[in-house]
Amino acid sequence: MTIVGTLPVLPASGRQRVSDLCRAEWLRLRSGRSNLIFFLVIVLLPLVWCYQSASSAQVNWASFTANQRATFDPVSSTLAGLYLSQVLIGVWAALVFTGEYGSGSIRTTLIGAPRRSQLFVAKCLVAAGVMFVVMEVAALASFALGQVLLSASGPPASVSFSDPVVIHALLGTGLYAALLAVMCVSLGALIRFTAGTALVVVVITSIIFVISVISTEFQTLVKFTPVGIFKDQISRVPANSQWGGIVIMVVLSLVVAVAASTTFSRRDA
Amino acid sequence: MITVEHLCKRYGDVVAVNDLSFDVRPGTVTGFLGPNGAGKSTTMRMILGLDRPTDGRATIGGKQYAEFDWPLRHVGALLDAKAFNPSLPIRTNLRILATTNRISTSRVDAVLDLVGLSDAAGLKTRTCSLGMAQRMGLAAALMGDPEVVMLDEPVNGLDPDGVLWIRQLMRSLADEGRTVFLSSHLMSEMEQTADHLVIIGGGRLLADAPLDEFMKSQSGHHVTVRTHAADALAAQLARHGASITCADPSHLEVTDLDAEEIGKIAAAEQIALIELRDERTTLEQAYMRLTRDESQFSSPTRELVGSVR
Repeated sequence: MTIVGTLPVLPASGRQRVSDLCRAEWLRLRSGRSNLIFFLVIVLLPLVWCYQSASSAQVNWASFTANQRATFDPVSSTLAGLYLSQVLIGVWAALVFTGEYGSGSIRTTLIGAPRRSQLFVAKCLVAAGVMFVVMEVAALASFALGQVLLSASGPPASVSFSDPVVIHALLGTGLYAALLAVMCVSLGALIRFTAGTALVVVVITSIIFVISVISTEFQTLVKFTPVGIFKDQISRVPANSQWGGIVIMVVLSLVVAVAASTTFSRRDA
Repeated sequence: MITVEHLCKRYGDVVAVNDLSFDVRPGTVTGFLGPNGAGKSTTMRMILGLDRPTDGRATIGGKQYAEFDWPLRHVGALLDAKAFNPSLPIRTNLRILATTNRISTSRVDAVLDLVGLSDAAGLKTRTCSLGMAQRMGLAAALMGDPEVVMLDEPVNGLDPDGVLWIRQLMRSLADEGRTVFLSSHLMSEMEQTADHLVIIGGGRLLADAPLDEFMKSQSGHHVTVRTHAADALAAQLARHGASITCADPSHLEVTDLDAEEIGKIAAAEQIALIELRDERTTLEQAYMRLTRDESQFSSPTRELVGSVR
C-alpha cells in the first residue's frame, strides 16, 4: 500500500532496537541549540575557577610555608571548578525526561517507541555517553590551563599528565559524570516535573556538601552521596578509595535507574 | 482491524471507560463519537498502550501495540497535535520520530509535502497554528504508510478547505483497504465522513452500527402545525390516530400522521392553518438525544435563565 503520490517507505528488517532509539535521541540532542550552549557553560565555567585558583597559587608560591607547599594539591586546586560542572550535568540530565513530560512530547515519543524499558535505556545511554565526553573535555581543559599557570613554579606546585593521580582524576570525573547522568535521567523519569527534579539534583550534587561543612556528624554520610563521591575523584587523599567511590556511584545509579524504569514502564503517559 | 474487548479505565473513583467492546474494520472509515469527557481519548490512548487498562484489552490485528516490530509502520496515530518539542523545527521533530522506526528523511519530506507543510517545515513547532499542528500530526501518523490510521479530533482547528481535504484523504485511505478510526464530538462532521459509527457516552457504548442503519433506527419525523383553533384540530387529529404534543396554545407537534393527511382533515373541518411543516430528525438531533443524559459537562442553561428573571 502506498499513499497516492508519495514516496514509498523502504522496508526495514528485524525489530526496533535500542540502537534505533539511541540514534533518535542523538538527533534530538544535536538539534537543540540550547544543548550546545549548556555544554559550553559546563566546559568554560570551571576554567574561570581554575584560572583564579591556579594563578593566585602561582603568585603566592614563593611566600608559601614548607607545610603549605607539602599539602598543596595541584590536582584538586585546578579541577575544583568541576563541582559546578557536575551540578549542571545533573540538571541537564534531569531535563531529559521532564522536558518531554512538560511539553507532552513523551506521548509522541512513546507512540514511536512503545517498549518503554528500551526507550529508558536509550535515553540513559545517550545521556551517559555525552556527559562522559563533556566532562572529560571540561576536566582536560581545566587541568591543562591550571598546569600551564602552575608550571612556572615547578613541582610540587605542578604535576604532569602521566602522574597516576592525574590519570585517576581525569578518568574518574568522566565516569562519575556518566553515572550521575544516569541517576538524574532516572530521577526525571520518576518525578516528571522539572522544578522538583532540579531541586533533588541540586541537593544531591551540592547542598548536601554545604550542610556537611556546618555539621560534622554529617560528614561520614556525605562520602556516600554523589557530591562526596565527586570530591574523591579530584582529591589526592580520597575519603573512600577513589574507585570505591565509583563503585558506590554505580550501585546508587543502578538502584535509582531500576526504580525509575519499573515505574516508567507501568505508569500512564 | 482494531479490537476492543471489555475495556475499563478507572481513575480512583472516576470511571472513564466502562466495559467497552467494539471492532474497527479495515476498508471503512469508522467514526468514534461522544460528548467531551465520554472517554474517546482515553480509549485511544489505551489502544496505543499509553494508558494501562484497569481491565479488558485492546489489540490491533491481534497484537498489543507494543508488540509490533516497527509500530509506526503498522499504526499511524495522531493523538495530540501539540505533543512535540515546541523549540525544535517541525521537520526535525518528525525526523526524530522517523528515526525510531528507521523511516528515511526523504519519506519525512514526502509526507510533509502531502500535508502541505513543505514551506513551513523549518518553522519552530511552537509557532504552529492549530491547523498547522493538525497537519503536522497527520504527517507523523502517515509517515510509516500504516495499515491502521487512528486520529483524535483531526479536523479541530482546520479551515473549510482543510476539513474537506481530510475527509477526502480519509476516504481514499479507507478505499485502499486501510482501517481508519476517527474521533469527533461533532456528529455533523462524521455524517459526511464515516461509514460506521461507534458512539460512547459516560464511558459506555451507546451505539455501534453502520451510518445508514443508525440513521434509520434513530431518525423519526413529526409534523409541526400552527393554527388558532389548536384544540379543535387536536381533537380531530386524535380521532384519526395521531399522537399530539402541544408546545403552546397555537402550536401542535403531530406524529403518526403525515402533512398531507393533516391538511385534508383541517380542510374537512374548515380549520384555517397558519403553518404546516414536515420535520425530519437529523442525525445530529438523534445523536444529541442519545448522548444528552451521558454528557459530563452539560450546561445548566435553563436554571441560569430562570434565576436571572
